[in-house]
Amino acid sequence: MIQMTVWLTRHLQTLIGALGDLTRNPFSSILSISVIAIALALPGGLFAALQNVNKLTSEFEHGAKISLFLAPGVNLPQARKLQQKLSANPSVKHLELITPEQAMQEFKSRSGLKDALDSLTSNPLPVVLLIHPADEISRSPVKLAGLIDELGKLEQVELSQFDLEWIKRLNALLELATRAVWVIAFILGLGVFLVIGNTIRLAIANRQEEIRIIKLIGGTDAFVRRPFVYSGMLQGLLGGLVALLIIFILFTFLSAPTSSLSSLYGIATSLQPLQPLPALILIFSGASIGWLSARITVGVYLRQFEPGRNQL
Amino acid sequence: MLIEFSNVSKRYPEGHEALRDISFVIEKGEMVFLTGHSGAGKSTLLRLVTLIEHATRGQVIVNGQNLGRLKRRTIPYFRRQIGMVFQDHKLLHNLSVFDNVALPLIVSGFHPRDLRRRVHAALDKVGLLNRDRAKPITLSGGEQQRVGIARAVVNRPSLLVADEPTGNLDANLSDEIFDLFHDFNYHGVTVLVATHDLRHIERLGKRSLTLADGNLTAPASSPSR
Repeated sequence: MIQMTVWLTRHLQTLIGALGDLTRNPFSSILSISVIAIALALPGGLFAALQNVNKLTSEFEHGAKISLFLAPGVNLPQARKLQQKLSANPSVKHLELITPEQAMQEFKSRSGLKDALDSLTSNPLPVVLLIHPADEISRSPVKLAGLIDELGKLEQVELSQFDLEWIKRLNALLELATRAVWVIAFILGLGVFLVIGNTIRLAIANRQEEIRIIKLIGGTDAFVRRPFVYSGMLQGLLGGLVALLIIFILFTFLSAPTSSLSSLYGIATSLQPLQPLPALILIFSGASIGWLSARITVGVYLRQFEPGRNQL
Repeated sequence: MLIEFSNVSKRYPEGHEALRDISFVIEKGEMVFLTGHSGAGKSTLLRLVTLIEHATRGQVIVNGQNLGRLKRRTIPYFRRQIGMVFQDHKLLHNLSVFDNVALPLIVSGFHPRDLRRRVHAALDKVGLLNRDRAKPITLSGGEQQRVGIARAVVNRPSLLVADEPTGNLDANLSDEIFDLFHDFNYHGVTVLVATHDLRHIERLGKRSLTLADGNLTAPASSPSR
């Protein structure tokens, strides 16, 4: 118990000491924290942007409908029978029937070909069943394809069509973009690692004499390492927090034009900055990169203070 | 015995042979002077005892531990058994006198409750209790060295090693410092002091080891009194 409190006090003292070191040199601290923040904000911001696009496409997908164009010979009562039969299918959440008249009406009002269509003597449009798949189906591209296939094989059905093929392509593109963001995150993470390593290296150089003396009076490597590791971790942590702030400001700045743009497309959506979990991950990554970098840097330099190195 | 050298040689990587086939024993509770001209190998010998350097050949045993077999990890714990005093004091100038003396205790995870008492006892011993809040830079050379000695003994080590502790001090101050070492020795601490000042050897009547060009010329002589 006493050992525990001693241990805890020591760590707390070191943490406060590391904070003190950062404030003692405010200019260089702010500089290095800013560099870390920018390096973290870029992949973080891209990730948040991707999240938004993903959310948008999943909304599209959610509303994805399968259009069943019935064969020309199928009349309205037959179509209603099929409608009833399909409503019992668990893969179908809900379905609507569009009569040729309704379809013609909509076609006329939307296409601008009213005069041409008026000249037709008979209605060439088939009966259409609009199917909203059950949620578990629309979430899985494989199951969705299966359902489309299954419906297409019904004898009354001329054509079974899923109207959001482009979403699949977009998803593939997003997958690629996500990978690209991970690569960027890795490279910039490496940058953060090197920046923190460099500040730690300078700090060690400034405190060489102190390190030598501590080693001479029996300080362990862990004791020598601790303040530097805390300092690296703190820089990463603060860098992560500032990065979050940058992303937040950026998204706030972009949110007004984005919502006016999306309203032009008839989509009611607003730009979301990072969700709590990714935000936490961002801060945590900053802190762990700082910790790792400081630990490795101090480890490398501590070896210079070994017996036989002629340095003490 | 506390220190045993058996056929120890030390050659530095650049080729200079600092010690040649040295053998001697220092018993527990002894006070021994190490003398010789500068460059004779005094510092090297002390660096082997405190494991700042490793012997090239031979065996060094300190406090029952064979230093050649000591694991890297355990070196800090080994050094905590030794109090070291340096010619240039090696104090940390951004810390107060109190914090400098407290450093070995902090480093070894001493409980903060007992820390103050121990530091004050050590400072009292060297007569600097009233200067505990001063920065080392404001003290005289002799006072700084006394802070260094307080730091060396605050851990209550069984062995005190000093390398030219009075190199920069005048005769009166040197006497004070050596009297301090003598007093620690009287209280059971084994003391090994390197000095070129033969006056103290005469004055205190202790055994001495003399090095010349890396060789031991007066091995294990009895007290010269």
